[in-house]
Amino acid sequence: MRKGDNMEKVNVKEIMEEIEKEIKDKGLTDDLPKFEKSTKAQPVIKDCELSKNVSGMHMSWNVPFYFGFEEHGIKKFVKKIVQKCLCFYLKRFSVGITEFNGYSTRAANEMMIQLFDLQKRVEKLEKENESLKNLRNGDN
Amino acid sequence: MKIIQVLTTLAFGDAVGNNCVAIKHYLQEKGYETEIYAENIDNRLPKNIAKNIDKLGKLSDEDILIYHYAIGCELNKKIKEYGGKVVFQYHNVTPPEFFTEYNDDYYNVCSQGVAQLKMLNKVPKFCLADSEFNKQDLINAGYKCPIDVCPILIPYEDYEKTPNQKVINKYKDDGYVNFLFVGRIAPNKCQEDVVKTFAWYQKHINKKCRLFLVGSEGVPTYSKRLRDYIDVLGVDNVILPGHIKFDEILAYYHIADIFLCMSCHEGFCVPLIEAMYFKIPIVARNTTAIPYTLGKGGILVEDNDPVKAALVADKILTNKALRDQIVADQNEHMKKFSNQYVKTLLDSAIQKWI
Repeated sequence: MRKGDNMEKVNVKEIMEEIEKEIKDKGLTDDLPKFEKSTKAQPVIKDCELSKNVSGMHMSWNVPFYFGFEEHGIKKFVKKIVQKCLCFYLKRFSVGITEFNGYSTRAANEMMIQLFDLQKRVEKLEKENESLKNLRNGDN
Repeated sequence: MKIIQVLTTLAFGDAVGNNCVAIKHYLQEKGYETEIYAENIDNRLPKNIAKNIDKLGKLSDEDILIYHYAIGCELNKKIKEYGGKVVFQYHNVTPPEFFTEYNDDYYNVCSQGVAQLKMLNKVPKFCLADSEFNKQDLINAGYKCPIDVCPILIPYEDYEKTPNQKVINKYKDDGYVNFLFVGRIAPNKCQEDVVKTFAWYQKHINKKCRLFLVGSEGVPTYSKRLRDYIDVLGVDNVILPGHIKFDEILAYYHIADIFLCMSCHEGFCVPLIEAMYFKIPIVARNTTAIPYTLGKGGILVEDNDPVKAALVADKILTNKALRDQIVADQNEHMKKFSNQYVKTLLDSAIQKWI
C-alpha cells in the first residue's frame, strides 16, 4: 500500500499482508469470549408465551381487507359482490384496525425489550441477594 | 401485451417492495400496460399502487408475469395458474439453518422457500437475479432457463431527504468514532461478529467509539442473545435503536465514520449501496452476494476474525488517503447500480422476454 495523498488504487492484498504481519509481530489475539460459548438461545421470557405471540404479531399485524376465494363461477361472483358491498362500509375501519395493529406490534416489541432488561436486573439482584444471605449466614 | 408483477407482500420501505414499485414506474414510463398484484399490501404505501391478487385474472400468452421470489408460500405453487410468460425475479431465500435455534416460523417459511425453489425450476421461461450470487443459486436449484442479472432499483431520491437533526446533534463531531451496521437484527446478519469486532477495537485500539446496530428486531430470541453477548463482552456504547423512522436511519448514515458488515448471508445487501451513497468506507465479510455488491469498493475480510477486521477498520480510520481512495473506489463502483444503468439492463431483459 502506498501511503500519502497520491495513492491511486487500494491494494487490499498489501493491506491484509501488513495486518497479518502486525498481528504476528505484536502477538495480537482474539481474547474475547465466543458468542457460541458465552450465550445460549433461550426462551426470551422464562416459561412464557409472550415471545411466541410477539413473533406471531410481527407476521400477522397487517390484515388485508381483500382476500381470495377458492370457489369459481357464480359462487365466486356472488362472494365478490358481497365483499365489494362490505368494503364500501368497512374499509375505513379495516385500515384503522391495521394501523392500530401496527402500533400494538411495535409497542409489544418495545415492551418485550424492556422486559429483557428488567429480567436481567432481577437476575442480578437475586444473585446479589443470595451472596448477601451467604455472607450473613457465614458471619453468624 | 402487459407486464404485471406479483408478490406475496408488498411492504413499505423494504428492498423488494421498493424495487417492485420502481419497476412499475419504469414500465409506465416506457408505455407498457402494467400493474402490481400482492396478497398483502402495506397500507402505508400510496393508494392504488397495487391491487389484491384476487383481482388478477387469467393472462394471455403474450403477457409477462414477473414474480418476485423471496420466501416460501402457497402463492409460489399457484403462480403458473395465472398464465402468461412467467419470469422469476429472484431475491434469494435465507437458508433456514440460521433460524434453527431461534424461530420455528422463520425456519419453516425459509425451508419451504428453498424446497419450492427447486420444485418450480421449470415454471419460469426467464429469470432475473439481483446479483451473480443469486444467479448461481438459481443454477444450483436446477434452473436452465436464461437468467439475467439485474440489480435492485434503488430509491436514491429518498436518501436526499432531511435527516433527523436530534440524532445528528447527539452524536456528530464529539470526538468519538462511529461504527455503523444497518440491517434487520437477525442471525444471518451475524451482528454478534460486528459487536465482537467493535469490542476488540474498543479494548485494544480506541476507547472513544460507538457502534450503531440499526435495524428492526423481528427475531426476539436472537435479539436477547445478542444483548446478553454485549453484556458478556462488557463493551460500552453499543446502541440498538430498534424500530426507527426513515429520517433517523438517514441521520445514522450521516454520522457514521465506518460501515462494518459481517453478515453471513445476503442476496444483495442494499445497506452497502446506501453506505457507498453516503460516502462511508466499508469493511465487509466476503460471503454470498457481498463481494458482487461491494465490487472493488470497500475492503473485504475473508472470515469473522475480529482482530483482522478491527485492524482494517483502524487503518481506514487513521489513514485519510486510504479512506479517500476507498470512498473514491466505492463511488466508481456505484455507477453499476445507478438507476440509469440498471434500467438499461432491465430493458434488454424485457426485450428478450417479449
